[in-house]
Amino acid sequence: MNERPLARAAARLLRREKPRIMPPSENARARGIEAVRAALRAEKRRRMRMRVGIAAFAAAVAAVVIFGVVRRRPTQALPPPAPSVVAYVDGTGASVVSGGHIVANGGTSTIRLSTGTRLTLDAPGELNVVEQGASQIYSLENGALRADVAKLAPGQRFVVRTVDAEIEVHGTSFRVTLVKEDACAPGVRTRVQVLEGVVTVRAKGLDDRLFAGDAWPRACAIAAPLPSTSATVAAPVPTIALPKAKPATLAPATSPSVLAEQNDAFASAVEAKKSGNVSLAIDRFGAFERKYPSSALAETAAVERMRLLAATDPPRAKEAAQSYLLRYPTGTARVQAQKLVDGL
Amino acid sequence: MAAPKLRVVHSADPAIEPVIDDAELIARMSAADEDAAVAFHDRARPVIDRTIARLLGHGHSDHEDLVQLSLIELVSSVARFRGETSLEGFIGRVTAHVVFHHLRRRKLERRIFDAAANVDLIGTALSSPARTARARTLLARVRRHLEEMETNKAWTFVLHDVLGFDLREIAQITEVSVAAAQRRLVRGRTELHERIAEDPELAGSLTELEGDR
Repeated sequence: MNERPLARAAARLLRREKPRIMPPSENARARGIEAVRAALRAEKRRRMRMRVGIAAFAAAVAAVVIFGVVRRRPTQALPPPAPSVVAYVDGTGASVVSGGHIVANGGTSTIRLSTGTRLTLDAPGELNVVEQGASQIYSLENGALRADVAKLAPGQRFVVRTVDAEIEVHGTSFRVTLVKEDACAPGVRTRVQVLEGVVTVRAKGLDDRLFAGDAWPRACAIAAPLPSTSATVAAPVPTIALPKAKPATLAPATSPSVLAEQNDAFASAVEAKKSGNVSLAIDRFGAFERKYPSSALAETAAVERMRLLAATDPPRAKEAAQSYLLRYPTGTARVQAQKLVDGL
Repeated sequence: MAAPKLRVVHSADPAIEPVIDDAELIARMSAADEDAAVAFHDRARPVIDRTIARLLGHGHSDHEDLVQLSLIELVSSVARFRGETSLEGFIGRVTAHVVFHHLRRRKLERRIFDAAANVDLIGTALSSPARTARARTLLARVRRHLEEMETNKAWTFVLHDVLGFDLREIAQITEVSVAAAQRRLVRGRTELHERIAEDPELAGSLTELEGDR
């Protein structure tokens, strides 16, 4: 057993000791039985609570999953595979679908897309609508085009092709012009000027990423648009004949960017928030969202407004959260927005 | 002579309640069946009483409280009993755990085996009154040595060598690793041996008692 014989002997002696246990009195027995019953009842309640808790948790998980699926459906439906993007030509009331051909005979024409994107085609100019689905692809045949592209949803693309280049937008404004060949870039007729954001120009198998203020080809300054080389309306449909000398509906491409104006508006809202004027900050962030819905700061403004409302006006915060989720289903504040919608 | 006529007679003593075997009792308790409360109490109570008395002595002032605590703890833990030991062993282990925690929580003075007058001594070697009285004296001296030892070592020694818990069970009761329980056991045995060795009269008596076996 062990190597300590005296300890072993002591243990043996202790084991011989038999405590004189008397049966419990009736009262003691009754108390003991009641203790067991009470413990069993408590155990039942504990298990019930656990079952309810597990069921509630499972229900919550199921609700989140179902809600996530329901919410994901429209998200997954975006970008739409069908040509859900519709282009309207200002002043004509006409809409243009894929395969359409737009000719600007004089002045400047504006094409508004249902996504919020604005295209300004300088006359004389020709633009083909190649595709208006998940990928919005246009082909500039002649003239100059300014594109103010709304924020693209995941999977969406916006591309303008020319005879010798392809310009892909990463969400902003740029101007693309077709010129006659000149010395600065022999063999290249496309000229691109980025006004805001980032675009990628692909030409001759090379990608060139341009930022605000950049021009392409790098060696060339933007040339003035050339007179139209062809005023023919291409087949098949639809052909839009634009009104003559239509006044410009957009600022000229060379006008100052509205970025500074956006920055100022956003900064004023932030300033109001920092100064503790919450209601003013909420108003300013809201005004920003309405005025610059396609701005890179629009989502941030929406988040700021939602958070401020959450602290002061829960019902409006819930509305703001719903609006945010609809507009930015994969936005950075989607979790917080979802909690506000769920009332958590 | 006529052959005796025999007939089977069923006992109908109403005082004899049907006995529930351990497996059924555990199953009913695991299902929180209140109807099993009486049977469970009557099955567990003697083991609980015995374990508490062995650890704290007979008639300890906290005895009833500890019985209640042990019963409650048993109800909440019986669902985890997997039959790895006997039901009696399981009850003893849970009770020892409750007692150990109770002592630590209340910082009670350790009173292992300190009620010599209220114990019986069993064994053929101790059958005469003189021998029994002598054995009680020896027990009192052994207890005194145990009480002077470091608590954890004394507890581990008693739980293992006297009450028969294995090291894994002691580790659970005292909430230490099995290795730590083993270290405490070895050190406890060594210390008790050395203490008794320094008490020549006790050492001699124990040696003599061992020789009588």
